Amino acid sequence: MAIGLSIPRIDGPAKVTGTARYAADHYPEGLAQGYLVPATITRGRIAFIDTSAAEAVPAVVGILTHENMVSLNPLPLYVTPLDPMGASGQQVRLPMQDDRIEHDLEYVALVLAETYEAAQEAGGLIRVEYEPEDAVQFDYEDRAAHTKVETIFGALEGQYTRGDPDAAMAASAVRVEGTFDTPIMHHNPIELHATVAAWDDNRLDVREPTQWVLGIRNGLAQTFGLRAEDVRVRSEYVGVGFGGKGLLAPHTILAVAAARRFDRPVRLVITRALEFSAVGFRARTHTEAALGGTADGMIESITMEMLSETPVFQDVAFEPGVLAPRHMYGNVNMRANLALHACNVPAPVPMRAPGEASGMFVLESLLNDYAAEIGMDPVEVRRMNRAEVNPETGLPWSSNMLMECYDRGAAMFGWADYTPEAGSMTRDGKLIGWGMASATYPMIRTISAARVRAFPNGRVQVACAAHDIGTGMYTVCAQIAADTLGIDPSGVDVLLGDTDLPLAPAAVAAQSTASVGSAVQAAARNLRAELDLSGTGGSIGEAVRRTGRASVEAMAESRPGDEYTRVSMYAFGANFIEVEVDPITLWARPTRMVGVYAGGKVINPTTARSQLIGGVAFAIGMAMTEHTIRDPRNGRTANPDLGLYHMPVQADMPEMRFEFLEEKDPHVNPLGAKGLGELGGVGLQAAITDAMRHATGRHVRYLPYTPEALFPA
Amino acid sequence: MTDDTTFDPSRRGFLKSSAALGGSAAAMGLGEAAAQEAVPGDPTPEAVEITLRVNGAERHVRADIRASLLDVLRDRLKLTGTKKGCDAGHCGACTISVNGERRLACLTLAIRHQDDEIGTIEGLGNPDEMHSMQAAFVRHDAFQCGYCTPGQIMSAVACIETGNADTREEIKEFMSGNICRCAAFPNIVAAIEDVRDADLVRERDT
Amino acid sequence: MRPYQLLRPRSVEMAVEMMAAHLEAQYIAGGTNQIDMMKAGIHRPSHLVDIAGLGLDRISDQGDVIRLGALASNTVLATDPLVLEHVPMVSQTVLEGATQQIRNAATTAGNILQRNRCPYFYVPGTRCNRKNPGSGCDAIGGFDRLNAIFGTSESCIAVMPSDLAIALRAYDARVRVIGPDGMRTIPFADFHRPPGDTPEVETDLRKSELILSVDVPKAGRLASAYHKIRERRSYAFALLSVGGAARLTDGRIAELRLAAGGVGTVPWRLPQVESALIDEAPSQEAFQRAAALSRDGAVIGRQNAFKLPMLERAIVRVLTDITET
Repeated sequence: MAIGLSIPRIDGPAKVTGTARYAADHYPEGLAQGYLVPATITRGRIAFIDTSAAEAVPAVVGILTHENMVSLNPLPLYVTPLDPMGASGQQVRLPMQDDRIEHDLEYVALVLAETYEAAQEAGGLIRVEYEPEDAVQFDYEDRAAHTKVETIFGALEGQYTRGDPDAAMAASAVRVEGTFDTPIMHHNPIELHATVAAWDDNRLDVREPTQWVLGIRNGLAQTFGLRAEDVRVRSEYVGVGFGGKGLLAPHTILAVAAARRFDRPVRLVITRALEFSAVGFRARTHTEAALGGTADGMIESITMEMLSETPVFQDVAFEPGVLAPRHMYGNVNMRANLALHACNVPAPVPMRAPGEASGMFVLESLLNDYAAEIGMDPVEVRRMNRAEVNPETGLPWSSNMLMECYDRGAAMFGWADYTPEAGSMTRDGKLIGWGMASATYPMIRTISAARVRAFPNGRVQVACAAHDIGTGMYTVCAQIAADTLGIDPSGVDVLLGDTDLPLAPAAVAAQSTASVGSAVQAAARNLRAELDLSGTGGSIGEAVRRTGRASVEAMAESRPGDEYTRVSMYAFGANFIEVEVDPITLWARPTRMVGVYAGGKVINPTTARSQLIGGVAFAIGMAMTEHTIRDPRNGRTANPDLGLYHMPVQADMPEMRFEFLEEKDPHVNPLGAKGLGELGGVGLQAAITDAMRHATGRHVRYLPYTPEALFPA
Repeated sequence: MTDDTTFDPSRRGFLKSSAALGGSAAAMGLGEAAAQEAVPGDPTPEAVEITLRVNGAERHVRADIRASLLDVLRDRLKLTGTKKGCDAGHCGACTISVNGERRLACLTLAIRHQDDEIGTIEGLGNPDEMHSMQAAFVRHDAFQCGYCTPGQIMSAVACIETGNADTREEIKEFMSGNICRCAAFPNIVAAIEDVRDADLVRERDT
Repeated sequence: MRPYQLLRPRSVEMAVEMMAAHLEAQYIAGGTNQIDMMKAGIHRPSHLVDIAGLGLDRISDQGDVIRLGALASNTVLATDPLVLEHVPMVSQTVLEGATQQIRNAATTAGNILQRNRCPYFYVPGTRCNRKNPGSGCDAIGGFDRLNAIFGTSESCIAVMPSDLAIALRAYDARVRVIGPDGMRTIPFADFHRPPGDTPEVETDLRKSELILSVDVPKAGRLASAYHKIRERRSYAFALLSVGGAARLTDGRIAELRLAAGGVGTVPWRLPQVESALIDEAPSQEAFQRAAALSRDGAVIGRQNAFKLPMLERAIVRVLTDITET
C-alpha cells in the first residue's frame, strides 16, 4: 500500500542535481532577452516617453511601450481559480493599454535585446516624464471611502451576523478588545516570475512558472483573441507560488505581445524589484475586534470589523479574514464584516492561507487576551468553547478532532508546566514565553481529470494538467496510482504542468490532493478494470503485453458531490510555540514549536510535514520579520528587494515537532484527505504574539512585531 | 617590526615616477586591457572572449563584458542548475564554488574569473550518480519546489568543507545565506548533519 | 550597466596611475556591493581597475598594530589567528555581517567603503542627495525607520551600514592609503564623513587614492562583544548594533571602548558613555545611568525614535557581557 508512506519525492534527483528545468531554464533558438521598465509614480499619466537613447544601444531588438502595444481583449472582472476552465483574470488592468499609471512599478516599457546586459542597459536609458496625481492610499480613518463587501469569492457573505452580538457584548462580564493590523506581504518565491514565449504562425507556446496552466492558457487566448487549443502553456517545475503564480499577470502578456511584434521568441525574467509590482501580494488588514465572555471562560460574543485594500481598477478581496473565525467556537453571538478601501495599489492575489492568516490572528489573539484577562489556561478556554457542529451553518462536521489536537499538542509541548503570570518563566537568563492557538482550513474539492497509462514493460504513467509547486504532487500522484494498481511507486512516471494533458484545477487552496488525487485514483481504478490481471500475478506489464497494444490507458473525471449540503468539512490543528526574549534588549526569537493536525488521510507524511514547516515559516515571517512598506506620502514601495523585505532564514527557525492524528473522514472525498498544508501558518501568529506577552507582559497587536513593541510603556 | 610583504611605496621610488606619468596607463602599455575587439556584423558588440574552467573543463565563450558569472553560466554555457533569485546578493540561489570557496555568482563579473576553478551543481553529481549531499537532500526531503536547492547544496557542501558544521546552531548560521521560501530549513540541517556524520565515520574507518 | 574597459595593473603604482588617468574609473576588488551598484545604474564606471592579485590581502603583526590588508577577505578577517588574539571585535563584527558567500568575496576596504542601505538610495525615481546631489532627500519624513539619528543633516540621514566599521571605530584604527600625491594615514574617526551639505562625499579618500591596509592597535587584553539587533536573526543589516571592549582593574572599569551602528551617518563612538563608566564598578544601575547619556545629540525622524531606548538597552547588554567576570 503506497498511500500513507513517506517515500522520497520522485522528482528529487532532478531537483538536487540541477537538471530539473524551470521555465527560465529554456532558451529557444533565436530568442531575444526581455527587460521591463517600471513606472516611478503611483498614479498619473505618462506625458512623454523617449526611447531613442535606448534604441541606440547596440543589440537592442525592439521596445514595447503603450505607444506601440497591441490592443487587448478585456478579461472578466471575476476570478475563479477554483474552476479549471474559468478564464484567468487577475489583471483587469491590462498592461500598456493607455498612458495611465494606477500603481507603483506599473510597467511602462519592455526592452528586447540580443543579450540581457544590453536590454538592462537600454532599459535604464528610457526617459519617461510623468504627470503625477495624488495617489489614493490606505486610510482606515477615512470611513466614507470604505465599501462594504457583499460577497466573498462570489459566494460567501461579506457581512455576517449571528445572534445579537452587541447586546451579548454589552451584557458580558468580561470584555477584551483591540485593533489589529496585519502587513502587506509579498510571496517572493525564490524563482522569479518568467515567461518564455514563442509564436508559430497563430499558435503560441508559453513556458511560465504557474500554479494554473489552464488559467494562463485561457487568459492568454482571451486577451489575444486566440483559440484556446492554439495556446500551449507548460510548467513542469515551479519554483513555488503560494498563490502568487496562479493568475495571469501583465509580464506574461507583454512577453507574448513582444514575441509577436518583433517576431522573436522572447525570454523575460522579471527583476526582484518587480516581484513587488503586478504579480500580486497579500493585502493589508486593519480590524477592530472585541470578545465578551463570562469570568469563567464562556465566550458570549465576538465582533470583528475588518478593513482591507483593493485596487482602484478592480474589486477583489483576497484576504478575507472574516471567514475562518465564524466556525471556530461554540454557539456565540458574532459579527464578522469585511470592507475594502480602493487604493492605488496593484491587484492583490491569494497568499498562503488567504484570510485565515489575518483572521485567525485576530480571533486567536482575542481568545488569548481573554484567557489572560480571566487568568485561565488558553487551552482550557478553547476546550470550553468547542463547536459541536459548525455554528455558521448548523451542519455536523464531516470529522473534527480539534480537541484531540489540543490534548496531543499540549502533551508534546509540555504545556502542563505553563505558569500564566507574565515574565514568570525564565531559562539561562532569558525570559521565556509560551503561546498557543487553534488552526483551521477548509476542505475544498473541485473538478479534475486524469489519465493513467500502462506500458508493456510494466511502467505506469499518470498525466494531468495539475502542478507540483513543491507540494509533492508528482510523488503523491505516483503513490495513489501505485496504491490502486498494487505496484511500487517507483514504477510510476508522472506528467504534470502542461495544457495538453487532461484538465486539472489550479494548485491553490490546498485542494490538489483531494481533487487531482481523487481523479488519479479513479483513472487508475478504470485502468485496472481495463486490464485482465488474471493469472499475471498482478503484473501490469504482462497484462499489457497480452493485449498486444503499445499501451493501455484509462481516463477519469472526478468531481465533488452534494456532501457540501450535508456536512461541514474542515481540517483542524493546534500550534504551540515558545519564544525566548533577551531581558535587556527585549529582542525575541522563537525557540521551539509543536503542531498537531487532523486533516484526514495523509498520503505522504514526509511531504505533508514539509508543507507544514513552510506554513510555520510564513507565520514567523508575518509575525516577526516580513513587511512591505509603502511610503506614506505617495504610496511608492520603499523596500522592493530581499535585502530589506526580510523573509525568515535558517537562523529564524525554531525546533519543530509535528504530528498528524489518525482521522478517518468518509465524507470529504474518496481518498479521505482534507489538505493540511496551510495549518502550520494559521493561528501561529497569535501564538507567537501571546508568547511575547507571556514573556514580557506587553500585547502586540500589529504584525510584524517590532522589538520596541515589547519595551515597557 | 615591519612585514616585508606589506607594500611600502617609499622603497620603490613610486612617488617620483608617478608624478611624471600622465595619460592612459593602458595606452602606455602599463597594464592589459581586456580583449574587446568588435567582430564585424556581431549583433553584440560588447562581447569578449572569455575562458572559464567550470567543473574541471575548460570552456570558451563569447559573452558581454558586463555579464555576471551567473548570466554567463546560465545564458551562455547553459548550466542552468545555478539559479537567479534576486541578482543582488540577497538570496543565495546562485551559490557556486570558486577555488573551493562558496560565492554568489550574481555579484561577480565573469571576465574576472578566467584563472579560477569554478564549480556548479552540475559538477557534483547527476541523477544516476548523486553526490552524498544530493542524496542526503533527497532522503531528508530537504527541498520542496527545488529552486533554491542547487545553491543550498553548494552551500551545504562548503559548510562541511570549511568546518562550519559542528553544531546545529553553527549550521543554521552558516546556511542563513541561502533563503528557502518553502522553508525546508530543518530538513536541510538534517541532511548536512547526516553527511557530516557519515564523513566522520568514513574518516574514522580509513 | 554601461560597457567598461577592464584594466589589470601589475602593481599598486600602476593601479593608482590607471585610476588617475580616467575620470570615471573605479577600482574593483571583491566587487560585491560595487556590482550591485553598477546593475542599479548608480555607479557607471568607464573603466574598472582590477586590484586583485596585487598582494594587498595579507594580515600581519606590525608590533603595536595588526595590519589588515585592504583586500583580505572578510572570511579571513573573521578567522585569522592574529585577529582573534589581538582585535577580536573585528571577527565578531564581520561574522554578524552578510553571509559566508559574501564574506568570501568581500574585502576589508570594500566593507568600509560599502554604500549606504537607505531604501531611497536604491529605489529608482526617488530624490536622494547621495544618488543625485542636489535632488533632495525622500528619506526625511518618509520611511525612515532604518535611518540615522546621529550625524544627520538636512540633506541626508542614511546610516553607514558596515558592521566591521563599528569595531574599527571602537579600536581607533587607522586607514593607510596611497594616491598620486603619495601615502598617508587617516584616523578611522575621520575616514567616514558625516553628510553635511555634500552627502555624496562619503569618505576622506581623494580621487584615485587606494586603501592599502587598515591598521588596528592591539587590544587583546580587552574583553569584547558585538550585539546586533535586526529584523531577522541573520543576513540583515542592523536596526541597531553596539560593539564594546573593556578591561577591568580591581573590579573597576579601567578601559572602555564603545561604538554603535545603525544609528549614525558614520560609525558612532560613544565617548560620553565611556567616560561616565571609567573607574566605576560594573552594575546594571551604573550601566543604565551611563547608557542614558547616549541620547546626546540625537535628531529623531518620523519613525526612528525607538532607536534611543533600543540603543540604551543594547549598550547595557554589551556592557553586561564584557564586564562579566
